[in-house]
Amino acid sequence: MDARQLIAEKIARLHKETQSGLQKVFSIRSSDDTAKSPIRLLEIVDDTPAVGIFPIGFRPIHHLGITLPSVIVEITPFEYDNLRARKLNLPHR
Amino acid sequence: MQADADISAWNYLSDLGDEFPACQHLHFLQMACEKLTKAYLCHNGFDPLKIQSSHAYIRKVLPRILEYELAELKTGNDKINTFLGSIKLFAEIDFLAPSNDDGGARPENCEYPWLNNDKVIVPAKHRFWAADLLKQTNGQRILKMISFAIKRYCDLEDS
Repeated sequence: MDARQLIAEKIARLHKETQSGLQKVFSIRSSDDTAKSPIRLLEIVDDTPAVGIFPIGFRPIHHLGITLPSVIVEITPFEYDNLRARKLNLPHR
Repeated sequence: MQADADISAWNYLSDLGDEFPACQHLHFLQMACEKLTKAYLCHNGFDPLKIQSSHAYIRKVLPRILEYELAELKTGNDKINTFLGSIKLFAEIDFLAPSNDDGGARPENCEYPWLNNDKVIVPAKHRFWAADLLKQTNGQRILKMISFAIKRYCDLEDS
């Protein structure tokens, strides 16, 4: 497992402990990613308001071993179904 | 629209990791929240000139804005109350502005150095409580709702 994947898993574990209603976490990777690119996670959450796609950026959290920035998109299970049906789109970055 | 630019700057600086200190990052969040709250007040009949100079609106007005947006989304009261229970976070965002120092008790801010026991503290080297609270329960969700509310106001401006 590469370093980026390890960090993605650390963030996912942390969020499973702290975010209520979190069902699933997907790591989104791109062929353009470099070693310094932010970790991008798509989180499927029961409790989150269904307002569409709003990526939120976070700085690294070094004391937790999260040494890269991250971008989190939090959506409801219903929005996830819409994403899979291509009625919603993730931003290209 | 200006608040939207601030929240975009927050996201842009996030992508850059440690290239800039946390205070720069948080400064954009504070400015985005301040502009959102003032836009809400102006939209509801407040005189723009009277609210221009003061910053201490975030802790009082921002929860009301998010409460309104959540109610519009038919969110249940129990969920709204849980969501808005992060009242400390709203207060900490207010304290990021130098003009909000709680009568001198909270001099730390994102812009100017301050004295602590005769020692000069520089924002660029300070660890802000607001940053820690944002990583805890609801922080992520509150940021999402702030972004959503800003977009709603942008859409109102455009219509």
